[in-house]
Amino acid sequence: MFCSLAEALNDGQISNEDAKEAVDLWSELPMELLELIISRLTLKDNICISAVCKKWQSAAISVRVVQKSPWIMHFPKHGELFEFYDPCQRKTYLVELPELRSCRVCYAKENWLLLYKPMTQRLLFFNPFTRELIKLPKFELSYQIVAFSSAPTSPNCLVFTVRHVSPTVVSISTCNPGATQWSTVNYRNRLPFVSSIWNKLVFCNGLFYCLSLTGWLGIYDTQEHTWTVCGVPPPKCPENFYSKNWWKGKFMTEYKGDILVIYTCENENPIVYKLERTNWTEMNTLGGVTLFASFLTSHARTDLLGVMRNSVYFTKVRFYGKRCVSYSLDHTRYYPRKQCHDWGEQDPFESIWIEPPEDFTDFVKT
Amino acid sequence: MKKLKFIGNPLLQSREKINMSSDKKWLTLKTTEDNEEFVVEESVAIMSNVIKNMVEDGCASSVIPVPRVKGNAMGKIIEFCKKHTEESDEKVLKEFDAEFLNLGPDALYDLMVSANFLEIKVLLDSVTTKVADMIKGKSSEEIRNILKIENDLSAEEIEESRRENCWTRQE
Repeated sequence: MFCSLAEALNDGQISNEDAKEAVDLWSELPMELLELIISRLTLKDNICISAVCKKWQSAAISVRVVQKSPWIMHFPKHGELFEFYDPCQRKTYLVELPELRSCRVCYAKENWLLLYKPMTQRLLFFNPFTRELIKLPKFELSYQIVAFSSAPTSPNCLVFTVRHVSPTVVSISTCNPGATQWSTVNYRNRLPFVSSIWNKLVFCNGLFYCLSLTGWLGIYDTQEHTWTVCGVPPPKCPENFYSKNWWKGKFMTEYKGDILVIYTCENENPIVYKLERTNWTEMNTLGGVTLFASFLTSHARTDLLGVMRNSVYFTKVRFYGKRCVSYSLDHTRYYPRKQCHDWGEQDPFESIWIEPPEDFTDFVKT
Repeated sequence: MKKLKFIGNPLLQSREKINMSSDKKWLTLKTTEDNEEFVVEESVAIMSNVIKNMVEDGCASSVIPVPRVKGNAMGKIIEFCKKHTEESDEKVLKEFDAEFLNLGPDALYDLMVSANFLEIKVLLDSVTTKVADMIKGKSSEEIRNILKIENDLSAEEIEESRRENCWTRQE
């Protein structure tokens, strides 16, 4: 099975030199070992080495792990027919969801949606893929931005919202699935942070990060129950970013513990910043990560097939579903070429990026 | 003349002295391919799951025959296991492994296949990681050259691969 070099030499048939050429060591490598080696490679390398030879291609495919990209979920102005768009496969799925009648979307994470029904003043969790519905206690939300930490089926799920009371006071309300009522507490606030309908919320490592329209961050610690206005000042954007509606058109997400914010402006290319200890750093590359940006929720993903790396995907689809509008940091351009992207003017409740489950075959049958 | 490789305390001169140190158990491993013998502490030898099972099942006699592994690979493996049994400092081990695995692809191959056969997980993990690092970022052609692998993919299969590869670069 392995190394016939010793045998060849013992036979005295081949000289040392010839033996080296004749032996096809690595082609004889057992599949299990080949798979073990290849499983240590990134998706990029995995795809690259699948062109070495048949055996390697087979091994690469068997250990290849491809992540699922989020889908765009479109909320119709009327009716109950919802459109889901998969940017990888470039496929659209139409699904009837009567459960979402008169609901306004608030947040999306891990296959789940958080929605608000103004008529009943209820927030509710809904999984459009399994049709599971989890109601929360009554809460008058108006147009506050609200988020949740993890799937409502997970033990530590927490729903969070922050409301402006006065320049020096914010009101924070939290709730978890299964609770009978919301918990609301006032906290001391520092002025650069102003809570508004332009808040961006992200949960990461036990903290809810809240990006205000001013660009200052407020942080709620779910363990310590504290509210802190982060001392890091907003990033210095190019001058043009401060024209018309400069406080709109921002997106926030996290990747492996790093907080990322995307600043957009109508006639400029988007800029991605990463939160560091004392400042926001402009990112020239995302290290292979793809960002999916929507007003209420944004996601970060890696190891995808069918979408570009180091890019930001928005919730606009062009050419009859053939192209999702994206901005590439590598090539500093939009795909397709920029027509006019004013992301600040998009309807916040019209679409959202949602993570589909691993297996959605039942979902698409409906 | 049988070659006797003794791996242990360099101060000890003879086999008699080994028998006198009662707190340590010793095994003799003999590579049947080239008849090399290695005297090893049991605690080091049982890093190999195969040898561990033999010892636990009581079927390990004074000399354990080891097929399929050549003498020089065995020597290196024992050196690795000894270091990993003696040293607990992660940093020191990491440095040792980096130096130890500074080998050509063919030597790595021998080591890997032997570690797999002897079921030495730590060594197998280290070698496979080293090999993965070696091929990381290289084109398929470069890999074929280094490892002397023949390309047996059909034109369509290569085209399919190239198409998939596109997503990792640009649209």
